[in-house]
Amino acid sequence: MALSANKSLEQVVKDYMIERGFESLHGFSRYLNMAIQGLKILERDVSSQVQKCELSVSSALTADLPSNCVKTLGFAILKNNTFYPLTHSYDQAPVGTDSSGDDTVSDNEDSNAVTGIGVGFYTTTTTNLHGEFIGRIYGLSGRQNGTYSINQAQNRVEFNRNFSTKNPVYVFFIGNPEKIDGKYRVNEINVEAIKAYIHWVDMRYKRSGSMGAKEQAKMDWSNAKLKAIADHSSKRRTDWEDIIRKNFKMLKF
Amino acid sequence: MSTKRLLAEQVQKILTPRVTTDAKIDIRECELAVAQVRDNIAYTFLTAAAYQDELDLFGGFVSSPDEYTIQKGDDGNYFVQLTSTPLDLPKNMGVYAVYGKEDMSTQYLPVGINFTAMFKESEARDNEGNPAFALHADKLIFHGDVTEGTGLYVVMVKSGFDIPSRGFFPIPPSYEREVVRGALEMLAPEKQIPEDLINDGIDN
Repeated sequence: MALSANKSLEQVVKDYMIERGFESLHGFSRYLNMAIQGLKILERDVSSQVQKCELSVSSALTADLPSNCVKTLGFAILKNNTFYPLTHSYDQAPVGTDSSGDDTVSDNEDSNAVTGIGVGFYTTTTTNLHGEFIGRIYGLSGRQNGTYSINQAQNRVEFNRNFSTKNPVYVFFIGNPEKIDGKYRVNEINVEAIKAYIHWVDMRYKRSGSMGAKEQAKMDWSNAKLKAIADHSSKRRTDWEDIIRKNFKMLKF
Repeated sequence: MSTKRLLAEQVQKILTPRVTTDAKIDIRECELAVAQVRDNIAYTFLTAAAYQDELDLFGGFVSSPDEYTIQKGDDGNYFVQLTSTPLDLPKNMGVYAVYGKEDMSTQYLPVGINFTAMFKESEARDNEGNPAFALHADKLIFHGDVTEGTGLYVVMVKSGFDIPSRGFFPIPPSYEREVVRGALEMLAPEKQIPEDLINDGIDN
């Protein structure tokens, strides 16, 4: 069962203001802005809910990543109701741009990879990981389904030039929270952590605040986040089961 | 219930025990002094309260709600033309609350004058769908989903000058003595100046 988001962020901000003794809504926008930043951090560090969406692959074999994507976890093609993962290639040539501004795929990319049904062997080239040669990769891999590399500057994914676009491609990612019916929703477990985050950010820039109070606010936020992580961890297994039920297989995290 | 006139009369009686129609210190001067001293107390007290986050202390200084209707300007902006001046408190807290006449739970959020520019690329720019207002001089300019002709109640910490003489004078009872004392201090030097009874342009 997916984690439920059951309180509006707006109400969390108002709860915080009520607890602080505010009786008017002055400063609401400022606190709301802080709360959204806190929600983003919590979604990323605490909830870590995996989102997925289908990508629209262009003729140049590139696809824009979702606008709320913070970190990609993997890509897969959907075939016969089953996800088949794609392999992250560190040595894939980048997609260039021709004189008319259209994306082009380099011809010298990945020519030694043997692809096909069954086992994919990477035969002759050595694999380059973050600039370091780590040797050859042999054996089973996801390369038979295709490879990809991430173009961070363009916020897009680029597929190898033999990639077939006949099956829908999905990205699995950690993303920023999205609004539901025009409002951000907060998981009940994260509520106290968000209030602690607002308080810490509010204290951080107060010239009149003592160092002790600022340190306390920072520690409260840190503790609230850890507590939220602990509260979430008991549910994490059910999340995984949910993912498995959806035939989410062999995805590297 | 305390009124501006009652406090002004008290000040006048202390300064001029036997008040006559041609009393040197006019009741209107006393009212003005009372209003200015009250504004000064409100400003000092509420500014300190705002910075110390003691924001539940505003209640004693706010006036009764005034009714307004949202209008649409030639520039397409929605606004309300205020008929009273709010006190210049931090974060524009002089305009304390704005809510719908039909539905009091519809609160309009107070935002800063540069809200649009500062929140342009922020996820908080739509205030989660809530309408908002910013104080521009003597107008409230609205942001978000508002409709022309909507009735509003505006609650303000008004300038004492705009409070009617015999209407409710918003000052906590425990501060009335401070108001009277302040007004006396303000007007006492005037009483000590010798009276010039003949209007001939010469002190005599």
